[in-house]
Amino acid sequence: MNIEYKLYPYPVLNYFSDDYINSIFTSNLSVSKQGNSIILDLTANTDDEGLMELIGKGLADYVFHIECSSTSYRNIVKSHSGKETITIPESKLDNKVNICFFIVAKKDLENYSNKNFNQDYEGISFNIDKANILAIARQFNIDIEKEKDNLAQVPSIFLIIKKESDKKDGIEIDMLQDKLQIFLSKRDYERYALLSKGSYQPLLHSSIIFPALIYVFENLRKSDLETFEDFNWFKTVKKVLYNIDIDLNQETLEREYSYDLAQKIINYPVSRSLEAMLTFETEEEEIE
Amino acid sequence: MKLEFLREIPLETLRKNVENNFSNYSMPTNEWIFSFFENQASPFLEFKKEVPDFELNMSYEKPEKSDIENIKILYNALKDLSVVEATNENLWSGMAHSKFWNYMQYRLSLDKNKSYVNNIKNSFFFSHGKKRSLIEHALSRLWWAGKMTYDENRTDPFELLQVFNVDFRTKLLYLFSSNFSNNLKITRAFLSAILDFEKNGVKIKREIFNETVMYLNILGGTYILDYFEENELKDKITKKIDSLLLTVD
Repeated sequence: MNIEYKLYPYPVLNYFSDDYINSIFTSNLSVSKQGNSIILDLTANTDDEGLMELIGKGLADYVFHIECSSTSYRNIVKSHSGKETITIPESKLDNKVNICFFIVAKKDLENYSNKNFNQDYEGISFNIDKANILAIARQFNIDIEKEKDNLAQVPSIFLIIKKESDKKDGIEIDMLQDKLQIFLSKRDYERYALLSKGSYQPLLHSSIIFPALIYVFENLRKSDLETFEDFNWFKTVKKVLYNIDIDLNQETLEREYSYDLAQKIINYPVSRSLEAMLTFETEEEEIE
Repeated sequence: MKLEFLREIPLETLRKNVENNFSNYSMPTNEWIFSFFENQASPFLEFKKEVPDFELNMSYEKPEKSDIENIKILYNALKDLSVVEATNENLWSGMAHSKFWNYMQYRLSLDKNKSYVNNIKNSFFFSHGKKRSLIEHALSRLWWAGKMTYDENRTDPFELLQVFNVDFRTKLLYLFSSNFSNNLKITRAFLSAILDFEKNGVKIKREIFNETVMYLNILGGTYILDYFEENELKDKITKKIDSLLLTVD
């Protein structure tokens, strides 16, 4: 449920409109993990006397709305105090979870008015129905990390796939999957499979992975990042860059060279490749 | 009974090679898959959970007529899947390419259907956004339809499935695309209201079904639908359908 910046037919206390003046409604969240459960510590707070009075009299509730769209999980928690600790089995959630914080009418409210209404509403009262939204705090979108991203194996954001095709031998790249997919012809794939088991990793990085990553950054630069944000490869790239103090956003992509971002992510592959080739040279000499 | 899922690389390889393999998808067995992955380990792995033996009904002249029955069969057998497991393409695509190969042939009528490639992609793989793919895939949509309609409080827990006797896929897609259907209480209130009309001899046409879905989406803008009791919500929906019936007829 994305409820930011909606308009309502009656005053709603929120952070994006001035229906109420001199009142705030805030939210806070901390996430932790215990065994196979996700634990959410949720806090909602308001200083508006009228709303606090409604809650105190049992006419309104704090409501926490928790949703994971990809697993069809959607649940609410009603709260009198505005503080709740919620435990959700990991098996019900997958990656993105959205948490919204509301104050909701528990019963029909006739002639509701509030001294903190904007002057535009002076002298006006409203009939509020049960379950109407009275206040909205800032929502949280969190990513549940269920498996630690293995940063030691950067190429794990890539999948090398065989594509049987008589058309051409050129590689193909697909950015619209959870992993960046590089497609090789059947013959090339078989060669890659043999080589990838040995000492040729640095050469494969510089000849296949590095050009693919340059292509990826060029496409990110020309695209709306939202297109890719949900894919796991994007999240990993963003995290790796973040760990070297680079924020992955449109501004960065405009400013930085794609080849430089690419080589930073996979630890300067051309250098490693040349070093590996020298090692092979040295080993050959020793054999003679 | 053991289910099989596809490992990641075989799944992506099969997806990418549908055009090249399209004639194989109308073969009576899936043996070609093992040849396709020659010199490699089996592309399938056994799913960790043991499930009851079951077979889907493949006896109808028109395969879509078997959907309601197969929802019951499959969901009853796989009720213990977690929702995370049930969103996993490796599982559904693996099942489609292995034990349920014959069902896929039957359901897709691949030998008669000439628009192979897109049909195969949509039915054997997840070819849309994650959410919609669950409803397009020929096996996963049976499970998710079962989950959305199963109500253990009813004498017949699958009674709400009757709403889908006509226009199954369209209704399912429209309903599943709406966020409110993530809350089973809201979904049950919706389906229950429609079922009551139809039990009383009032046919709910597609336009009214869609208008009612829209009504709930709009209602969700100012109300927290989840806050209502199921009966309260059902009453609201019933009143809306009543007024729609007056307008449309």
